[in-house]
Amino acid sequence: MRSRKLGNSGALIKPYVYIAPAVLLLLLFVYYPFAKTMVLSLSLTSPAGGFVKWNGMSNYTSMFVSPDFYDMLLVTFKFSIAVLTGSLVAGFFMALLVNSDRRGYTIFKTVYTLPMAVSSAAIAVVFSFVLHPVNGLLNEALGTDINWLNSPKWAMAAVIMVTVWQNASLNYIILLAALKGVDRSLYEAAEVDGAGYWKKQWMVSLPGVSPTLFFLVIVNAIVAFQAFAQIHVLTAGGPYNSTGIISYNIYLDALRKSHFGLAYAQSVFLFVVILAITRIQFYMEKKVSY
Amino acid sequence: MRQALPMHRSLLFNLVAGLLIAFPVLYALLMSLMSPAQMYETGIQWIPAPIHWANYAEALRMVPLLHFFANSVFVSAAITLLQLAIGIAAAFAFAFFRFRGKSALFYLILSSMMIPAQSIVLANFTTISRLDLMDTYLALILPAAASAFTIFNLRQSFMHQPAELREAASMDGCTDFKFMTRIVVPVNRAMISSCAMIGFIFSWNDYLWPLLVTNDEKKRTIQIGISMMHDTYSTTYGPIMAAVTITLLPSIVIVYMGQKQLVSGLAAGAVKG
Repeated sequence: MRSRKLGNSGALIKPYVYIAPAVLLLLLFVYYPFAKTMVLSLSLTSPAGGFVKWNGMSNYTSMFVSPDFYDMLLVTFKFSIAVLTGSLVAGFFMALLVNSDRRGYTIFKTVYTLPMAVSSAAIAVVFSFVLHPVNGLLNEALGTDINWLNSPKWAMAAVIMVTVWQNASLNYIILLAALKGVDRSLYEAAEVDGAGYWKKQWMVSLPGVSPTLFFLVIVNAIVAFQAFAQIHVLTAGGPYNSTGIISYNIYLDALRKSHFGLAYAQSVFLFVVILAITRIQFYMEKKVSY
Repeated sequence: MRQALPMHRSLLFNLVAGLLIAFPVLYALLMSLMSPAQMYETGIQWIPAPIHWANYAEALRMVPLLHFFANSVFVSAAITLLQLAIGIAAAFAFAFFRFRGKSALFYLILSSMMIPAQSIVLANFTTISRLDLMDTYLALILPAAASAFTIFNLRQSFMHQPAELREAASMDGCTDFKFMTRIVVPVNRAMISSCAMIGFIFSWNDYLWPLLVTNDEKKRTIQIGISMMHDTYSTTYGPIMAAVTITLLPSIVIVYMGQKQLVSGLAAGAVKG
């Protein structure tokens, strides 16, 4: 009887013991900094990023009146649209290419999976050599003389290219899994109607994976907003802030310019944008029945 | 197979796409084995002849690359193990126990995924520097030690356990802890290894956090090490490419050996419809 009773009171707290480490760590390193970011975005901050005094909305007003902020948003928007379009198209194409499960295609599957697993920083170092103005491979191959990373136009294209290279891989993995779930008989029906390979992909595969594709658009936008290492290595946000997307700008404002208050306000802004995008996704998923 | 492209065309497309995708990695490997003399010959040089291993020795001499590598291995392994230990315990509780506040707590864990890492990284950084934890392994490891993604995926996987299994185990006098470690963990090893690989890869490649919390070369991870090496010695292509190759190696090995688990872990929950 006694041991049974002990067991019961132990059983009462036991579940909490199991989840305590997870909950405590997430509170400490996600929720607490989140609250702290909110508070500090409304404060005057020290050069080290600490609280000095309440400052009302003034970080937000200086953010919203600054023309640089809108330039930065435009850069972020262009970057994200290009990256998500490029990496979805590339990822879908790669998934189609290995969807036929031919023997010996494992090597291609491995290659297509690789980019999501490799370091953005290391790959950016490789690209910085390829794009080197004097003895870079690209200029040599094209016979051109372009200073890729120092021209506002080309620097953006370069950063987009590296990010597409990397992000396409995750899309490939998920779209390939989605393609496996498309009803086989639909392909046969399309074939009876005389559809060729590409027409079948257009008429059967694409609609078949469209719910996943929609989900991936959201994920890709969120991932694109948070690109950092490749920008840091390739352009450091330059030239003339032409590649300084929001996540990079937060870093620059805080750690290079010691404008922590402004950086916190942008952090909150980033959160709100991502929250809004996620809400749209939830709403659409409920509304559209596939 | 009726929906396939003709063999030769499919192979051709795959070869082109495969080469494009593999290009940066292959290029790094080839350049890492090329002598400076060959690199500066006119025309594009692809195949190193002769193979110039000295780039690797040179890279190790220029920066404490092995030390950075060891730091990264230690930090990523610690993060992975902690994510698993903490995640398995939490997922086990959510899958098998009934307790007050269960759904609220689960929601709390899930919602943490909605907060983008980049929007809280500064606040975490100022906390770490206020606590005087800059340049410590603790600072590198602790913030990543609990992963909501891992907890969620493990819980989904544990939920598939038939209830009879637990009943049978408890009739045999098996405690909850033993049931977790002896039965649930081995049965779910596929999902656990997926989570381990994903956790390792992401912490291995993490850049911004170690950039913020390390100044001391002794605590630097290989990602920061490689970009600093690139900043300092930007003209020594060969050794830097050797360092890049060393940096890429663990990820390549994981993708090659564990592709199936990696893919199933990443695709879990993502396929809609």
